[in-house]
Amino acid sequence: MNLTGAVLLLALAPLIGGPVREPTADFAQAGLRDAARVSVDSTVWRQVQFDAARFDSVTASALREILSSAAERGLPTAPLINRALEGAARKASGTRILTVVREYSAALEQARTMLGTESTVQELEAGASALRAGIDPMIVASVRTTRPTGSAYVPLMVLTDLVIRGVPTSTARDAVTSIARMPKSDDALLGLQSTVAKNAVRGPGMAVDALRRYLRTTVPAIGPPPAPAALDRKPIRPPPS
Amino acid sequence: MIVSCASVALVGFADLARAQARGDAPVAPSSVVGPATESPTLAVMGLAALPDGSGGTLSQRNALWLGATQPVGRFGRVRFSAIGTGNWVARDAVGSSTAVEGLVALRARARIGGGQVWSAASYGRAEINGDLTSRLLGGTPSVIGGFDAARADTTISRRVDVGSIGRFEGGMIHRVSAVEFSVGFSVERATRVTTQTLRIDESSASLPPVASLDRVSSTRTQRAVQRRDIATGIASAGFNTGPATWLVSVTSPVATWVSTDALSPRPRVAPTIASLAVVQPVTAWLSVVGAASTNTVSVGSTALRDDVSEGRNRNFAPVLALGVRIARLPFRGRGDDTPGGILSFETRTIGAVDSAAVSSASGALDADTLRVILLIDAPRAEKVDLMGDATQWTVTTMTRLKNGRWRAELKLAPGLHRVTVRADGGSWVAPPGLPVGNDDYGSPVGMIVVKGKP
Repeated sequence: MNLTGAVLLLALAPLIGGPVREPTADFAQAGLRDAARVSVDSTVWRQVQFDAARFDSVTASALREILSSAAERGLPTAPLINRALEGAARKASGTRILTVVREYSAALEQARTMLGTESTVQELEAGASALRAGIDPMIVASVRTTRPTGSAYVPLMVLTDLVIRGVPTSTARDAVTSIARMPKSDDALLGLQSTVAKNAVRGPGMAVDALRRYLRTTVPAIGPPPAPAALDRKPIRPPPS
Repeated sequence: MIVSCASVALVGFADLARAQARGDAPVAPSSVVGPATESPTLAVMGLAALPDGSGGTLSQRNALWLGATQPVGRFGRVRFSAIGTGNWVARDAVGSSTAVEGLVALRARARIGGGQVWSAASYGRAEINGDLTSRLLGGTPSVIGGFDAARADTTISRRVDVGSIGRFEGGMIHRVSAVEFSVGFSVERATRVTTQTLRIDESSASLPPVASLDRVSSTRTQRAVQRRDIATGIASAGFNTGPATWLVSVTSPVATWVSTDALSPRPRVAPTIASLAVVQPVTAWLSVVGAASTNTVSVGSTALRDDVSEGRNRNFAPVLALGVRIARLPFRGRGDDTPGGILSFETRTIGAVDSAAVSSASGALDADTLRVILLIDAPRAEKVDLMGDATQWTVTTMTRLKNGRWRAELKLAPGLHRVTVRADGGSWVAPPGLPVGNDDYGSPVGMIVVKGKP
């Protein structure tokens, strides 16, 4: 473990992560979310200067401009810094890093449009990741509506994962939204993701099959098939008189 | 191993007796056997030949091939695995007998460097038994062991081949986008000792007048030794389309040195071979394997092939193989840039991460930061690295535990955190089982979800 990195992370974690207490319905403190989005990210941008030595001078300069622009628009900059650092760690070219960061910045802005201005950093990041994975913006917005007061980043993250693993977007959306409407359903959503991930490697159709089986056992409305209709039963004849 | 990869589709199809004579004895796709794999495997393949222009298709028969591997341990950096194969050639209207070929080999492999450079040495032993007749040896009059078969009715009542092979291989692996390229070089020495029991029925016409007019029968045992040293260049490319894995490879001999004793036919020189293989997983433990190759002659097979008969200069003798492979998947997940663990190519076992687990340590560091333990199940790895948001995207080496797991303690705030891992300097992959994040740089990442305290 890089001790320096860990210590730095320890110091920055409250700022990067924001004061998100619990991504469920009890997190209805809009004012707190606003504070997290605005003040925390601007603080991160001021305090977490990415290591310019990890980029060439042209790229570093261009990145500063992108980050400044994002901060002015009220977008979280920590995810952008992380994307840039990730590109440097993967030895991507400066052009590639700038392209990714610009596109991600645009995705964050679009995610904020679709999810609402009160969205948290995590929600915006999950929404941007979903958009970058090719998920329709309206679907991202529909996930938001399933949790009008609670955090939606777990549903969005699970939706993205399902789509990346080959589940059709509409099927993934229906599954995620049906579970997300349930109270305290983050664990159920993560269970869905885990189940699909395990089965996706087994071949075509396995992911969707696992998803449907999981839904039948998780969502009450879907549940097991109903008992046979009364018409299917043998007629009850009165005893012979 | 690169040689193994390259010879993936070097499948043979022929009557064993005829094939031994002309050099086309069935050779199974070695990567299906899985000398590369770190897990026990079992594969069953049906082998079939395409018309090669010789017109001798009647003599070709279908074959059933089985192969298995079993890791047997490691000593330091050297890993050992046992390989066993068997080949059963079915009886048909032309051949008069079935035939069986077997192979048992022990392979030792050691990696040098950070995973991009590796080397390997192997040793194999083959024994081939069969009751053969001269008719099955192609039916063409020829000089066999100094006897004129046109004047003497010669029958091979028994033939036993014992072969051995030693091979040293080295290569480099490089990944470009989603394609893994391998370039390698191998030096191989193969020897074969053939012991034949001949029964010679000579007519009176071929004998001196003082002899009896009746036919004279005699029995003779011959022993012949062949040796071939060959240097081979190999290039291959592997990639995935969904859960399916593809491998395209070219194997070309660079130089060949052959030595035989007076009684032995000259071993055949392997031609340049191109092959294509695809493996489609059906379940977590069963895969369908298909392969095609331009020739059946294999570099790296344990049995030498004689450079006799009509097929000696035929560089294009296409073959097809179709079968199933049973193995535990060494990789899991899809969309996380792991190859699905299908063929278990040697090149792909480097960097294998079996599974990952994330757990929260007891207690939080403070109100907004939690200790999160990331466990990676990669018992065969010698080094596992991690990088992600939590490490400012700097490479951090994980700590090895006694149970073969690798551990990293991260201090994370509630929310989403991107992380990626690699084993033995291989490709960066999303920790299997974790949600997959969007792939911005051609290598996916896993997402750690840290939930805050209620």
